[in-house]
Amino acid sequence: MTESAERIATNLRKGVLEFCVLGLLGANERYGLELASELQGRGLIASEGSLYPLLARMREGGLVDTRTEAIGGGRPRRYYTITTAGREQLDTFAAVWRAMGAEVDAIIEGTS
Amino acid sequence: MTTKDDYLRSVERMLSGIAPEHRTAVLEDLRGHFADAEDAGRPADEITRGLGAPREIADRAVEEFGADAGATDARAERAWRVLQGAAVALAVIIGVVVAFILPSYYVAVDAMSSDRTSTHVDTTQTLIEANGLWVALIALVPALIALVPMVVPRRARTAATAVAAALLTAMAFVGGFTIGGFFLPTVMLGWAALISWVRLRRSGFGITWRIVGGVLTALPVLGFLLPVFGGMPGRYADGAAGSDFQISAWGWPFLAAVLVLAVVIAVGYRTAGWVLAAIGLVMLVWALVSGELLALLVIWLGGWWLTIGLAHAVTASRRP
Repeated sequence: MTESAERIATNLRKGVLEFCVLGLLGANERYGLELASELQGRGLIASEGSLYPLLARMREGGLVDTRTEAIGGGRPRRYYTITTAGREQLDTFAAVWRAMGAEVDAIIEGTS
Repeated sequence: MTTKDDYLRSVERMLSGIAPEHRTAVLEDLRGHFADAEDAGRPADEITRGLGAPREIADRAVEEFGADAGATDARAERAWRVLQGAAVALAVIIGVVVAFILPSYYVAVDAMSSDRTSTHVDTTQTLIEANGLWVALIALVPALIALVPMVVPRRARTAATAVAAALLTAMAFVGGFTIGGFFLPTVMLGWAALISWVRLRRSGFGITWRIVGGVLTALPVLGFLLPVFGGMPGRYADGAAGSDFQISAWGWPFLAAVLVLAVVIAVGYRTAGWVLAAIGLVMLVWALVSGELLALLVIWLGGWWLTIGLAHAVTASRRP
């Protein structure tokens, strides 16, 4: 990716990352590493570590919740789940994204 | 010390600006991330590379909790400004009083009257009358020293505040019982400003600090009461002699009120700090204009309560 493409991607990711987290959790509860690997694999975060402050803020905002489960070796693992408020946010985002995406597409296709 | 410990410690240090519960949540998630990645067989240095630099996590945290970190900082800024500003204002007032108003020199004048008898008259002179303008201006030096931290750039603030407090302390003690002692309230406020500035941007003030504040508030009161209840100098208690130390009728409710304030400060209500500060200020101003012999003691006591009260009022969290 060129430098300007990288900058554009960084700016766009900032706006949508939170909703991608909600989308992934909407399909299935996930633990931190799972979520981080998935988002990085899809190119939605540059580094895995930056996910955790976002999760802490979303949890405080009541969009996600956590559930702790003891896994092999007695070690507790924290799973993130989506809340009702989180689902509502995700639906609102989906509507906005579709409408805006359609307009952006129309403009780009009109000019190119 | 492993790569993982180094990494977590570094993140923890960089997250010191955000609220403890968020810091804990992020660190717990990172520990879980390490544990799960290790279980999956990823080597430690690859895990830390994937997580990104601790600085990036800290930046993201400030972005997410920006309002939070900003609020902590604004509180420290305000507390520091109030205390350091009070130190400057007090140094100006005390400097002016010491230089221009306070009678610091007793001058004996022998006057010959018409019937050739000599009468001995004591008059007083202020510092400026006795020594001239330039010497009197020395009394304003503490105000200038206290002002310096307020005009230096922010990154030099901690150092400047510390140096100013140390210099003022040295001046007050070198000046001793001449004019130096008058500036003790400024010295106390200077140290309070430094401690508040440093603490509020880190872990803040907990219950221990509040109890210390309450005890320090009550100490002078206990000092008054000891001679009364200690039974030691009986003459003070029955008020027959040594009337200097007698606690007058209005004195009892006053001392009781200060004790109540001390308790409320320890509990954590901010208003008690303002009230105590106001009491201290009134005593200080009264002592400065009264010019009595015991005035210096009252100035110290007023400064003591002003400092504790003000520091509590601007640093206490939560309760009104």
